[in-house]
Amino acid sequence: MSAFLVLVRLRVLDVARSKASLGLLMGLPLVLLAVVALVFVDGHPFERRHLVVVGDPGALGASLAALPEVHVERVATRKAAFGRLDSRMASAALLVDEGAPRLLSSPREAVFARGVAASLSVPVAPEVRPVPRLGYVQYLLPGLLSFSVLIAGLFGVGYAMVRFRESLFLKKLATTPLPRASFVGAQIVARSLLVLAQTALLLVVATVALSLSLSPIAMAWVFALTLLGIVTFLGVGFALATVVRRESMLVDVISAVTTPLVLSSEIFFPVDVLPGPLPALAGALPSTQMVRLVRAVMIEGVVEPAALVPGMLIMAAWAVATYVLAVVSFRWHH
Amino acid sequence: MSEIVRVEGVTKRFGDVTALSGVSFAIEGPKIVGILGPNGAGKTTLLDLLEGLAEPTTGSIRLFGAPLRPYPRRRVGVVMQKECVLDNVTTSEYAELFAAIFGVRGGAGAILRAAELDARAGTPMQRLSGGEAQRLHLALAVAHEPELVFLDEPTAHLDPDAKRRLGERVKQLGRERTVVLCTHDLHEADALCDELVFLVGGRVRASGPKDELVRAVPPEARRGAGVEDAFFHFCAVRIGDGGDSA
Repeated sequence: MSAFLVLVRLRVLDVARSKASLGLLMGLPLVLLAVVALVFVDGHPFERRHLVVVGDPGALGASLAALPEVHVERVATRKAAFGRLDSRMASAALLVDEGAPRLLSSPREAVFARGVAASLSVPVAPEVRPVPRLGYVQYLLPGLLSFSVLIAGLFGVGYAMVRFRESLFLKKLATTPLPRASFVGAQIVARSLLVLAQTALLLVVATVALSLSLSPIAMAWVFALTLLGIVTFLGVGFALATVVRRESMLVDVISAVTTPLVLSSEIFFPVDVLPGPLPALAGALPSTQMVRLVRAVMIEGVVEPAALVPGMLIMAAWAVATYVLAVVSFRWHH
Repeated sequence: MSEIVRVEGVTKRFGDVTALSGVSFAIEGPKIVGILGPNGAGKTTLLDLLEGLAEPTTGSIRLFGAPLRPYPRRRVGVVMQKECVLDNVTTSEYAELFAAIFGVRGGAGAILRAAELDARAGTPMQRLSGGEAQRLHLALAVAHEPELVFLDEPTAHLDPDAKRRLGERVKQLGRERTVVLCTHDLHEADALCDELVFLVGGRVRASGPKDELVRAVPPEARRGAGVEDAFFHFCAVRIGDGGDSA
């Protein structure tokens, strides 16, 4: 047998002899197919129009409920409604908070708005509101920021921990009086600093290139949420690294975890129109909460703590749970 | 002399595999004690237990007259069989970490001077030669002036000059502290060790002062090679010894 064939055989056997590697290789595409089928079983989420309502719709409520395939959602302020229109999160906004009802849409959604107006029990003249050309990019920005934090958390520490273990660095540290908390804390602080710098760069570029405009307090909230996100995802990374001990396997596992998370965390599209229990499940994920919170701050201008704290508590709960798991199962070496 | 290490009836099992079985010996210091045995004898497993990196399945280990937990990390130094090499970390930065952990007076500079690596401070760890790396790891292990030092094959894969220099350093260490040295190099053991523990198949075949063990070799088995004669006499693996157990 030629050396070429021997090398091919060795490489194939290397994977085939590891049940976990073989399982991931063969099973991951099937799992992803199942996830994609589940998420998109009713078509793409953006196929379904979103209509935001500011104020109590009163008599219009019944008309709105009867609109076929339209997802109606109430928002607190006009600012939030305009933010959603500008970022293409909503196709139209119905304002019933003061004076006569108004129905606004972007130019592209004017036909849809006319259809909605025709369905309402009270006559409302639809108005066209110009929206920024890069509005959808602004919608994606919080998702991309959260995605960067997610990856930095999962890979930044989870991957580093497994590499440290394989290089015997952890075993070496185990022979010293260094407390575990110092080691873990140092990893968190180092990675947090890097991710905050990454976030700052992303915001500067978005401000210059995407005309992003954030108040100082909104900027502070974005950094605070980023910090909470990195701490949470580092916890997930730590927990994974304590369970998965081989570098090659961890990369596969992180990939397997990341893809469904990306599809179900509102990074690219809203999940509230997904079928069955998926919206509730997605809402319980720390990644979804981070995307929603950052999006609320950046697009809707939400800066009131009361509006942000519930989501932050969900993220904090994940952080606590994963750190407890990581600390309980952490070993310097095996 | 005071008792530094006491191992009593220690057994270590990994699933169905028994790596150590009923191991007992004691070490008084300061001195250099060699742990010798063929591959798979359980030497590294024994060192892991002595270094507090694993727990014995049964039996007990006492260091400095006290139980192993809490482990007296500040009184112990370790050079592992395979030391870690970090990417993108300089010699000085690595030394700085250990200087900080142990609160070494003089910091990283003192460690690098002890390792004769002052000129290589800015060199990435992975670019150090084998001899330089081992000098660094030895200097790190003793930077905090531990009373007990574990060295697991510190001179393996070194060239003769590096081996000689490291051997001299170990000899020097053994004058003021207790050194437990795992090695396959019988000449090195002969030159450095005061006492020996022969381990085969996870069991202690013989232990005691080097000269006594050498003298205990029957005349017909002696070839005038000192520790080498003792090794082949005490470590001869017979069928049924389970010499591949660890």
